[in-house]
Amino acid sequence: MARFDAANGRYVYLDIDGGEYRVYFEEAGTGIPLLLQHTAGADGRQWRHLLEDAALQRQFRMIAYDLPFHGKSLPPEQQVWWDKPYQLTQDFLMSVPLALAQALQCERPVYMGSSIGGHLAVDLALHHPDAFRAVIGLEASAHTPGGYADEFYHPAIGNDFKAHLMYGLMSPTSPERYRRETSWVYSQGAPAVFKGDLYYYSVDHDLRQTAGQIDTTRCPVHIMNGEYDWSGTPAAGQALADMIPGATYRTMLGLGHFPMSEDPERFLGEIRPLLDAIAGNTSPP
Amino acid sequence: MLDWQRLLQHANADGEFRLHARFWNARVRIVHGSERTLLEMVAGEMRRAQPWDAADFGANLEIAAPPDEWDALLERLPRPFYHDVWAANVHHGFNLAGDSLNLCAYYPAVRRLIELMREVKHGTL
Repeated sequence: MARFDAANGRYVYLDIDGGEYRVYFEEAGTGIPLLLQHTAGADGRQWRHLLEDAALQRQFRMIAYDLPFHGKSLPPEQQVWWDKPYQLTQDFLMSVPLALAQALQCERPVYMGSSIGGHLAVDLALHHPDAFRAVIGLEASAHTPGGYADEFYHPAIGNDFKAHLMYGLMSPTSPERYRRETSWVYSQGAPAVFKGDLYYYSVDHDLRQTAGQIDTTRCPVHIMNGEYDWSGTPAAGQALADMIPGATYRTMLGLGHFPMSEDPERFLGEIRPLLDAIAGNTSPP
Repeated sequence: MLDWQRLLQHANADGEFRLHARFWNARVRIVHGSERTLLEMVAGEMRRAQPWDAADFGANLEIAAPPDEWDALLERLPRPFYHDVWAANVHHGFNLAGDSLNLCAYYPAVRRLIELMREVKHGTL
């Protein structure tokens, strides 16, 4: 008897800003919709362990998607995208989970993302608070300048650089096999994409003047950063949460920038109480 | 600071380091306080690991820090942001200098080199 994962994958066509995008997603479980956003230059495979968790499957309809240009979501057929630099903007990035939720008939989903996905959690809470039941920003900060660098898309530098720089963003206590798997995903992104995603991460995303406007009575905000994440540091996560009235913050000990993929078991121990609280509509731990 | 000849032997015998260092030609200067050491890479092999000669040509890459910073970087289980030399360059007292393209292209080898230095220091090889 063959062994299968619980997750099922398929494609959906999303209309975003006048263009049509064929977007790949995988889903598992039933219940409250939970949208899962990957990090810059990567794809939804980072969430594969969460999708397989039986307890979460009983509470949540988990949906991990690949942004356009990432993973199995190819560039749009109708656009001439190859004669200009790929660049991810805040407006486009926000529109993807919104369009996906509508297409998949997810009513007020929970949103969770890491890195650019963590930044996006807070941008969604600011600009679309009524669209989400709650947002969880992993490895999130108000502002992370300096990442939009030529070294991330240079003919003399291979994708190995990104893969090993990302390896160094993980905790030394995380299982070696999962740190390598996370790095492997990074080695597979199209060469231009990581730098282009960092346009959002380091340039377009800046909540220093606006985070205080977020209304957590309409959209609760939870920030969780890993102890060993030297990009979205615990100090930056705490500072962001302090700017948002009602937001919660927790440092995840023994984890780095990719909590869901570098040490899934430890991450599940961290995230399960929060997701339980969101599902039960009780106060977070 | 370290048994450099042991590092040379183990670097050249290490499959992962040799894979990442393929075709690498570089003169790497390790600065540990006032102590300076040359690690010379020729076509992906570490040919020399010896005290830096003042008459030597310049380095392609320099990894520099005070001795207590090196101690923190080379701990068996480093504290946050000493677990990676790039992180230590951003958040602590390390300085990565030289040809940035060479550094980035061979960062996987540099990263593995630091791990080998940890292993040589603690005798875990």
